[in-house]
Amino acid sequence: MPDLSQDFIILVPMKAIRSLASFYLGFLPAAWLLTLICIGSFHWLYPVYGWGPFMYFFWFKVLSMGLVWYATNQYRRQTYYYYFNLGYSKAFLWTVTLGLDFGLFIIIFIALAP
Amino acid sequence: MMQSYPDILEADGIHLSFDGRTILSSIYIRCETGKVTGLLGRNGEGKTCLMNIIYGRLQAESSSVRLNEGHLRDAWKQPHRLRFAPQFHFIPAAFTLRRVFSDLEVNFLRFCEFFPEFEGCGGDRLGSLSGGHRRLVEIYTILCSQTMFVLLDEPFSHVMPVHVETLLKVIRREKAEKGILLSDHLYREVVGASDDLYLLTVGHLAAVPDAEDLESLGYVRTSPDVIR
Repeated sequence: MPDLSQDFIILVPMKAIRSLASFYLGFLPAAWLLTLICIGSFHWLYPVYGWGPFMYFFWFKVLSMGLVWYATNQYRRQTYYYYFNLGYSKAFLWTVTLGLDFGLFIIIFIALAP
Repeated sequence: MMQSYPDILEADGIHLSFDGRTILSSIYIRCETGKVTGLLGRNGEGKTCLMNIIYGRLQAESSSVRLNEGHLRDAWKQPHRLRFAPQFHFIPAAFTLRRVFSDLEVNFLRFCEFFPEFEGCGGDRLGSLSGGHRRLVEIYTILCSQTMFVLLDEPFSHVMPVHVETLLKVIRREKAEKGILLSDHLYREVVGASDDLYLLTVGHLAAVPDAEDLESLGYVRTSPDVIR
């Protein structure tokens, strides 16, 4: 009998990554638009205020992600059942994707800092 | 020779109420692998609530869901044991058929044998399908996935009669490997496909040993001609 354990180790995380990527794509345009607005505005304000407004953009991003979460729960909550049928919880989907999005927001902010 | 026993999914002691109105009271339901269990009831009687409670997505005031006498908490976290096809479109419209069949580990070619009109459509997105075809894909993939039990909530909604007949064939084939809890308003089809039948009425669930009893229980005006 062939040993499938190696395939299993590879395939299960691949399916999880693909599911997370699909879930993230559902709100990626809104998330990245907000990130770009924050970075653009920060660069525009930087010559006058320096790093001062950073915290405002930080909290703006946090609040906007809350709105993304709310909108998804309002208008796309039915698709959660697809992920449930794959064994993924809402908490797992949101923790990973929001964590990734916020991590990218911080990294891009720092990388593009004037 | 070793005798194999069926796996048994049971839910009992279920009590659910909203705003003081009792929806479900002292419910007991039992499903077995190798059998189709039909769940009938009028609109608003709580069939969907009951399925959601079994699936672990709705918290009842009291409930006990058991698999082979072991407590089954949050069944939705264990797709190898239980999967649920709700009554609405739940697969994201942007997904292709190939992707969905791959995720749920269902053979697409076998699906095309039952529904030849889908041949060559593996790359199509679900959102591009008609409502009936989309529903068909959703029901088929959950029904044929690798799991012990499936809950099908109104699987025949929006599905044309020819496809309903084919779905019934698939249900009969799949029950050899799993237990199926089936609820739909097409009661003739449900009665015909079911080995065990329950009727939910005024918050209580009654086992219906004979389809003829549906008339005396007030669910139908005339006894159903069973479609087999």
